[in-house]
Amino acid sequence: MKSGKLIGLIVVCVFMISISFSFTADAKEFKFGQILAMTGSGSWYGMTMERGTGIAIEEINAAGGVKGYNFSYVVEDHKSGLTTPAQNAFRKLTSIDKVSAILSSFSAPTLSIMSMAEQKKIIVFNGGASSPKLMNIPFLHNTRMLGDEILPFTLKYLWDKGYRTMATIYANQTAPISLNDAGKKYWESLGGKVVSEQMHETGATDFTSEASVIKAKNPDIILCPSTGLDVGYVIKAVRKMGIKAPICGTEHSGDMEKVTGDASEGYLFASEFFDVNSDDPWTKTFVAAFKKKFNEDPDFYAANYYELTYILKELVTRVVDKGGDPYDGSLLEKAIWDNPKFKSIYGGYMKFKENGTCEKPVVLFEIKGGKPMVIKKRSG
Amino acid sequence: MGLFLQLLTRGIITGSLYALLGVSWGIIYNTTRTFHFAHGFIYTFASYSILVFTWMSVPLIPSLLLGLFTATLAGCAVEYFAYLPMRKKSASQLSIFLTAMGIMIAGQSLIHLVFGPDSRPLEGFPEHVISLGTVTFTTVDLFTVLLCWIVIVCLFAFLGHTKAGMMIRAVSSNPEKATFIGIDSRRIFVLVFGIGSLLVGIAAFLSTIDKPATPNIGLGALLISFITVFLGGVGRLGGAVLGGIILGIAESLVIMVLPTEYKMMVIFLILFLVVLIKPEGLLGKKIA
Amino acid sequence: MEYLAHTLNLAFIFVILTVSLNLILGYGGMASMAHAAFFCIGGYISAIVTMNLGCNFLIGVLTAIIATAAVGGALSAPFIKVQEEYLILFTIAFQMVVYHLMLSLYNITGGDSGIFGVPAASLFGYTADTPARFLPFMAAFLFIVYYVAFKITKSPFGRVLKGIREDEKAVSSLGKNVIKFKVIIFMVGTGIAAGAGGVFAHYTRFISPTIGSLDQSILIIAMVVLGGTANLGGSALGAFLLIIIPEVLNFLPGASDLIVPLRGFIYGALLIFFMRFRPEGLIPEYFHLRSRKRTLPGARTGKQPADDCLHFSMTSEEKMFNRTGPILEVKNLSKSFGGLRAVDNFFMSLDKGKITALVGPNGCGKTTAFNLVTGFLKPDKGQIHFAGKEITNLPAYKMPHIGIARSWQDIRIFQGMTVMDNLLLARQSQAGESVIRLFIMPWRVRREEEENIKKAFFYLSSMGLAEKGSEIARNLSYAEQKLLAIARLLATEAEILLLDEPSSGVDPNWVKQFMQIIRGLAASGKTICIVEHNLDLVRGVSDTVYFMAEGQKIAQGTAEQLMADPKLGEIYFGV
Repeated sequence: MKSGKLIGLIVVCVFMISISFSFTADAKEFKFGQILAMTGSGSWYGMTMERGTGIAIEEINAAGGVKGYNFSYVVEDHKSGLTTPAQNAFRKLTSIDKVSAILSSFSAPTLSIMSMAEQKKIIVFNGGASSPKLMNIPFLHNTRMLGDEILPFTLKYLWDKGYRTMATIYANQTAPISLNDAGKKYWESLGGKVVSEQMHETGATDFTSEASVIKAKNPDIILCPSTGLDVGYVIKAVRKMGIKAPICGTEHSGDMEKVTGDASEGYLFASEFFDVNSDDPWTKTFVAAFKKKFNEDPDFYAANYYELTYILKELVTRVVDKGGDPYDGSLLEKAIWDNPKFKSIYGGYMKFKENGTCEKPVVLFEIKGGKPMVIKKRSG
Repeated sequence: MGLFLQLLTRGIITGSLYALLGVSWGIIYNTTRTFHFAHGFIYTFASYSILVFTWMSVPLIPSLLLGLFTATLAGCAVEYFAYLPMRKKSASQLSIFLTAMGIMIAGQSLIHLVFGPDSRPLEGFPEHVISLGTVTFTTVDLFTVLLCWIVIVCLFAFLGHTKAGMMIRAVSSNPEKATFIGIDSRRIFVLVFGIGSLLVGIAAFLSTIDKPATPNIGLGALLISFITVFLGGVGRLGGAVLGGIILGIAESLVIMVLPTEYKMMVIFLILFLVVLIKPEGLLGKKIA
Repeated sequence: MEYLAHTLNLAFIFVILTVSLNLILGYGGMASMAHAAFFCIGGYISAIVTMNLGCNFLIGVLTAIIATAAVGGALSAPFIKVQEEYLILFTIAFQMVVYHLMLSLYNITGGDSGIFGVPAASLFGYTADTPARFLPFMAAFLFIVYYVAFKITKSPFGRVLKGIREDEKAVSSLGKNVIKFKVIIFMVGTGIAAGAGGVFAHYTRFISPTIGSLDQSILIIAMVVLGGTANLGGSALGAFLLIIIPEVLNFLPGASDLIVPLRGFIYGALLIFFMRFRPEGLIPEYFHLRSRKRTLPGARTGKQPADDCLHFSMTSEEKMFNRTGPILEVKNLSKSFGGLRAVDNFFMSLDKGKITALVGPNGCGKTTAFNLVTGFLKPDKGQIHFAGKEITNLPAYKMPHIGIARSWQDIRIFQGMTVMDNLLLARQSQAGESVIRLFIMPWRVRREEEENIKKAFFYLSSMGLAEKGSEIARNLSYAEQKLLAIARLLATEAEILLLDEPSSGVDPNWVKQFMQIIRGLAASGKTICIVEHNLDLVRGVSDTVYFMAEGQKIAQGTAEQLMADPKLGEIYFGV
C-alpha cells in the first residue's frame, strides 16, 4: 500500500502548510475580504475594483485608521464567475482571515456564498453585478442600481423621439431576462408595441439568423440588454443585415468595440454615472489620486469599490462608537439601518434601500465616433 | 417567404464554412482514424499566426499565406511528434485521443498566455452590405462562400486526379493493402495532417475576417468539424460536405420554429437521430 | 478549522468523481467528456426534488443517481454500439448541450444564477450545516463509492471489462455481450457522478451550471490520467493532487492573469506527458497484484498433456446433445462484400462427435464461412440450424451460450491477464457478471466463482498448464499460448468447437500433440470443425473434408479421397 502512504503524506504536508499560514492574522487590523474576478475573461473588472479599494485603504490608513483599527483587505478570486472558487474563497476568508465583511462581484459567485454568509452573519456588498436575483437577500447589499430601474430612462428618450415599435434580443441570463421583461413592460405602458422577442445563447457569436427575423419584423428600435461581447456581436449582425433602426442596451465596453468596429455608431445605453469631471470635492480628490497612481481616469467600478470601502469605514466607526466588535458582521449589518444614507463618491449622498439595492445618478450615453458621449442626465 | 429565403441564404453561408471545416477534419479522420482533437488548436493557431503577421505590418494576403504555411507545419508536427510515436508503440485509440486533448488544452492555454484573453480583430478586408430583393448579405459572406467551394472542389480534384491523392484514398480505404503495394502510410499520414491543417487554416481565416479571434475559438470549430463528419458519414469525404450544409441550414432555419437558444439542442438531436437510425452516417459505408 | 474541513470535503467530492470516471475511462476503456455535466445534472435533480417535495436529501441524491444513470445509459447506448470514437462524439455533444440547457431552462434551473438555498443535509436530527459537520456524510459517501467501485472491479464483471479493453472480439467470442457491459459500466460511473452532484448541492446549498462545464470534465480526466487509469488508489491521489495544489498556491502572493491559462497549460501538458511516457499514471494498474499470487487448488500437481487427460467426462449438459447425425446444418449460405461473392450458396453439415475440416486455397471463403457460422458476420442469404433450431441471425456473443464456440487464428488470448483469468472469463452465465446480483447475492457469486476456478483448473491441467495459472498470459511461450487458447475454448463447455487455423506458426511436434488433443475431444463427444492449411493435420484428424473454392463447396469426402483428385490439387496449389 505504497499509494496510501503517499496520499497520507501529501495530505499531512498540505495541512501543515495551511495551518502555518493560518496564524498570521493581526488583531490590530480591520481586515475585510474581497471576492473578485482576478483571473479569467473578467479579470479587467477585478483589477479596476481592487484599485478602487486600494486607494481608499491608503487614504484611510494615512489618516490614522479608524478608531485604532488599521484597514486591510484580502482579495480572493472567483475566476470570472465560477461558484466553487467563490465558495472556497468564502471559507478561507471566514475561517483563516476571520473577516466579517466581504466585497463581492458577479451575480452567481455572490449568490453562491449567501447561504453561508447568512448562517455565519457575514455582511456582503456587491458593487459590480446588477441582477434582480440579488435583491431581498439577508446580509447582501448592492451599491449598483437595478438595471430594471435604469432602462426606462433610455426607452423614454427613444419614445419621445417618435419611435413606436420595438424588437428585443437578450441573452439567457438572469439579468438580461429580467431587463427584457422590464423593458417590454415599460414600452407597452407607454403605448408602444413589441414586435419580436428573441432569447439567445450566452456567448454565441453568430446572430445573423436572429437579425434576419428582426429585419422581417421591421421594428423602429431594437433593445439588446445582453452583457459583455454578446451585445457587440448582436449589433454587428444587425448592421450586417442592413437594418438601420437604433439599437439600445444597458452595457458598453472597450472589448465590445473591437467586435463591432464602426457598427456601434449610434448605440444607446444608460447607466449609473460616475462623473470624473464632477465639481464635488471628494470626487475630485479621488480622481486625482487615482490618476496619479494609475495614470488614467477611474471608471465607475473603481469608484463603487472605493465608495464601499468608505461605507465599511463608516460602519466600523458606528459599531466601535457603541462599544461593539467590528468583527461581528451582524453589528455591521445593524449599523447600516441606524442611518441608511451614506456619503457618495458620485456626489452628495446615496441611500441603501430595504430591498438590498440603492439609488444613484443615471446618464444616457450614445456612441459617437467610437466613444460614449453623454446625451442626457437624471439625478439620483 | 422573404424570411425563409433570407434564413436559407444565411444557412448556406454558414453551411459552406461548416463543410470546409468538415472536410478538413474528415480527411484526417478518414485516412488515419485519429480522433484529432488538437484540430481546434490548429484552427486557433492559424488565426493567431495570420494576425501576428499582420501586426508585423505584412499586408493581408502575404500574411494569410504565411499564416497558412505555419499552420500546415504545426499540423504535420503534431502528427510527427505526438501521434506517430504513439502509433509506433501501438497505443490505444483512447490514449491517442487523450494526448490530442492534452495538445488542444495546452496549446489553447499557451495562446492565452502569450496574447491574453482579449478579442483580436483581423482588419483590412472590405465589408459592404449587398441586397438582392429580400435577401441581404455582405461582401465577406460572398467571399466566404466562393472560397469555401473553390477549396472544396480543388480538394476533390486533388484526391481524384493526382498521384498523391490516389495514394491518400488507397490508404484511407485499406491501410494494409496500401502498404502491400508499396505506399509508405506514415508519409501519407503526415501529408494528410498537412492538408487538413491547411484547410482548417483557411476556415480560420474566413471566420477571423468576420469575427475577432480569442484564445478559445478553436473548440467551437472543432465541435462543428467532427459532428459534421459523423453526421455525413465516416469514410466518405462527400459526407462531410453534406453534413456541413445540413448543419448550417438546420441551425439557421430552426429559428422559424424554436427560440434560438435551442440551436445546440437541435444539432444534437439531428446527430442523435442519425446515429440511432443510420449509425454509419448519411453517406457513410456500413460499419462491419 | 472550517477551511480545512471545506477543502477536505471538496477533495473528497473530486475523489468520488475521479473514481467514478475511472470506472468508465480506466476500467471501461471509454472516454467520457461529459462527467462534469452528469455531476451537475445530479446536483440539479437532487436540489429540485428536495426543494419541491420537501423530502430528505438522501431521497434527492438517490433520485439523482437513478435518473441520471438511466438517462445516461439510454442516450449513450446507440453511440457505444457503433465504435469507440462515437462515445467521444456523444459525450462532447452531450456536455455542450447540457451546459447550454441548464443556462436556457432558467425557469427550472435558475439559469446562470443557479438555485440558491438548497436544503442542508440532515439525518436523524443531525444537520450538516457546516463543513466540519458535513465531513462524516462525505466520508460515508466516499466509503460507499469506494466499496462499490472496488467490488465491481474485482468481480467477474470487472474481469470481463478488462478483457474488453484487451480484445473486444475475443470477449464476444466467449459469449459476452460487450455492448451491455460497456453501457452498464457507463451507467454506474455516471450514476455515481450524479450522486456526487447531489451531495455537493446539499453541501454548498447552491447549484449552478458553472460546476458542469467542459473545463471541469477535462479537469476530472486529468485527475484520472495523473493518478493512473484502472487504479482506484491512483484516482484518489490524482484528485488530491489537483485539488490541493491550486488551493495551496492560493496562499502564495502574486495571483495574476496568468493563473487560469497556466493551469490549463499544465493540465494539457500532464495529459501529453503521461500518455506518452507513463500511460499507466503515477500508480500502475497491477500495483497491488505484483507480489500476491493466487493459490490454486492442486497447483503443484500439474500434468503434461498425456493420454489420460484427453478422456473428458461428459457433463449433463453435454449429454443433452448426445445423439448421432448432423448437429449443425448450413444451407444456401451467401455473403458478398461489395461486388465480391465471398461465400456463395454454401452447404455444410457437422456430425456429432466428428471432426470436419474446411480446406481450400487462400481467399476461397473459408474464414468468411467461419465468421458467418459463428455470428461475427451476418449472411445475406441462407440458414444455419443448430440441433434443429434456426440460429441464422444470432449475434456472436450468444453462440457460446447455446453451445458453439470458436478459436482465433491469431490466438487472441488476453495477454495482460493471468492465465486463470483467461479461463474464468470463458465460463458462461456467471452471476458475478451482473452488477446487481454482485451486490444482492454475494454468496452466490462467491460460490460460483469457487466452482469456476475448479473447472478452469481442470481444463488448464488438461492442457498441462496447471502450474501457470497465476502467470500473466504474455509471459507464456507461443506454444503455451496456443494451448491456453484451446483450454479457454474448452472452458466455454460448448458442444461445437470451431478452430481457425490451429496449427499456424507452431512446430511439427506441437502439431502431433495437438492432433492427439483434438481426437480426444471428438471421442468425448465434441463436434469439431477446423479451417486448416496444414494438410498433414487435415489428413490426420478429419472424418470429413469440405473443399472450397471461390466461395463454393466444390468437393466433399474423406481426406484421402480428396487428395487423390488431381484437379483439386491444381486448384489448391494454383499450379
